[in-house]
Amino acid sequence: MVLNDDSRHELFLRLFTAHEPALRNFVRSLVPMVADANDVMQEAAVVLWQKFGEYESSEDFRRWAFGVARFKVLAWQRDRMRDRHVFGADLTELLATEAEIQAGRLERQREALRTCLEKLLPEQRQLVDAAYAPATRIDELARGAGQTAMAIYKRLHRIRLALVDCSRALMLKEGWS
Amino acid sequence: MSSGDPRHDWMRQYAQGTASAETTLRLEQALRGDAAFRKLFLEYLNVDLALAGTPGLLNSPVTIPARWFQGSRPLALAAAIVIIIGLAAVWWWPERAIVTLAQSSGAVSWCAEGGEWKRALPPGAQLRAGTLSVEGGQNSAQLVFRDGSTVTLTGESEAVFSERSQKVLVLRSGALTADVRPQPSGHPLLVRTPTAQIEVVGTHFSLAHQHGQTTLAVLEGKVRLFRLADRSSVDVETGQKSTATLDVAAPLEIRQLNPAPARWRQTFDQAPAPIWQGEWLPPDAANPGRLRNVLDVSQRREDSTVVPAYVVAVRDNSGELAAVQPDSQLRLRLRTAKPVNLVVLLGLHHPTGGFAGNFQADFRPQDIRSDATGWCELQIPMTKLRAGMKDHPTIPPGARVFLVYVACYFPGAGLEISEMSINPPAAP
Repeated sequence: MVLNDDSRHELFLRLFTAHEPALRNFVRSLVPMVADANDVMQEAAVVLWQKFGEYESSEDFRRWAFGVARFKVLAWQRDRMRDRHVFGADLTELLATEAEIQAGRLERQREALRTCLEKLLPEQRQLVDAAYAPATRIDELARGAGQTAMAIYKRLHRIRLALVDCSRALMLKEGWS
Repeated sequence: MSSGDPRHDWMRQYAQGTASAETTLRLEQALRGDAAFRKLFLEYLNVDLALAGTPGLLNSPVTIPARWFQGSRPLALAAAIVIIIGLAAVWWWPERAIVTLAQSSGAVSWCAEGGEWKRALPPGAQLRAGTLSVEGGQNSAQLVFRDGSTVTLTGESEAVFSERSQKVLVLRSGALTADVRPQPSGHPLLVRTPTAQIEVVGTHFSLAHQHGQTTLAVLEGKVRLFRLADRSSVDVETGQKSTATLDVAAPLEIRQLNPAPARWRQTFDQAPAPIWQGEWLPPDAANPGRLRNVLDVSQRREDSTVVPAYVVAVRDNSGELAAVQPDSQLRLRLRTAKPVNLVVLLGLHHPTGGFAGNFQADFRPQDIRSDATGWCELQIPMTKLRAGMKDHPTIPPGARVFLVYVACYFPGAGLEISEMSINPPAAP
């Protein structure tokens, strides 16, 4: 079936929106700075749209999109190798493969977070809400709380680990390994 | 989940974007070898991403207390102006110079990222991030970063340099010496070669990448060397050296730097080291083993054409050939097929590391007197050598010789050298 432009666009948006979180997680795992990860993600999205004409509808969109994102991440790593250490190509491939395999599980983990956030202590929840609000600067947040930025980072780290634990426990009950 | 697991902290730093190169390497190693940790890593970043980007997942943030700004409006205004000026500087300062070319000799050229090669760079040239190339065994270029850290490329060398959150050098080939000022915490100077990476907090060292191997020699301080093939690492300290190749069969080893001897003699009856310059002629019934001149780059003209030199050179990038005093003597046994002018040059490192300059002497054909066998002995007191660079006017006592270079500029000169030696002055 040949799709007209509007239908093609709609199909792309539907597929991309469904898989965007998994793709973003994969990119983020290999591109540590959020701003850089956003750039890579944006470039991958542009290429996906440009090449969407070549995409066969029988093909697994997730696999195809991961392939494109993988190339974009490798290109970013090549550019950055000059001035910082980046993960080697072998580890990139390994993480890409595992992120793709675990995409369903990671999606479920994001859903489980709603429940887990409710289980945080009030001060933990308050910190997460403040730290992840758009345009928040951790140094300013720390100053307001009378703490160092490092102390805030470490508290957030412990909360993230607690959320991972909580989501794992919930998913285990649902039969996820 | 163990909160004492150091890998968790590496993961935190990575997620924050503050992981140093060393931390990133450790994290990489941990991820590569542990599937359970990779799973945790992906889940941890998934949580971070979801919190940052899932609409409706979080409550509205706590409002920043108004008291933060009460009574400090001028301060807030000043801060805003500073931020605006800072942003403007980022936007309008197109490409910032990060090093000064303090001095150079011979064929030195530079290319900004994505730009064209520039030659005939004057001393004091301000260079942006890019690639610096030194051609010719006797040539060198000294770069000074804004914090005073100095890196000198010597011989046939090419390096890419940049400075964003930290100083980074990629030594593609050749040799360098460095005098590195203390670097900001968590942002060491990184030097990468095709087989190794080193992290430097502040020290004197030399590094060479030639013929597939990287050799680090530390004259003062401590430098961490990572072998890229397997990410193994060693800390190389004062008076030590280590070599990394792509061969991972043997562990990285640390060896002591040999004290440079006051007396040194080199003959050529055995095959020379690969980094030396000269065609090896093994000993035969009539002649000792010797090195015959090979072509080298002396200069590059403005139009990129090369001024050739015909050279024989012995090199040890760690500066272990010999230690010289101002009254030491260099002795050469050589011959030429035709009467030619010769240049003899010594490349020196300071006793505690760092480039100490080139010193040379010129000889006219009448200075080169052969004996009955056709060979000539040149005795050259250090006092006869003149400085090749104005910033290094004298030979420091105890300077370590890393290069003995003999050149002529006449095709078909047939320069051959059978022996080189450095001797302390004869006792009175």
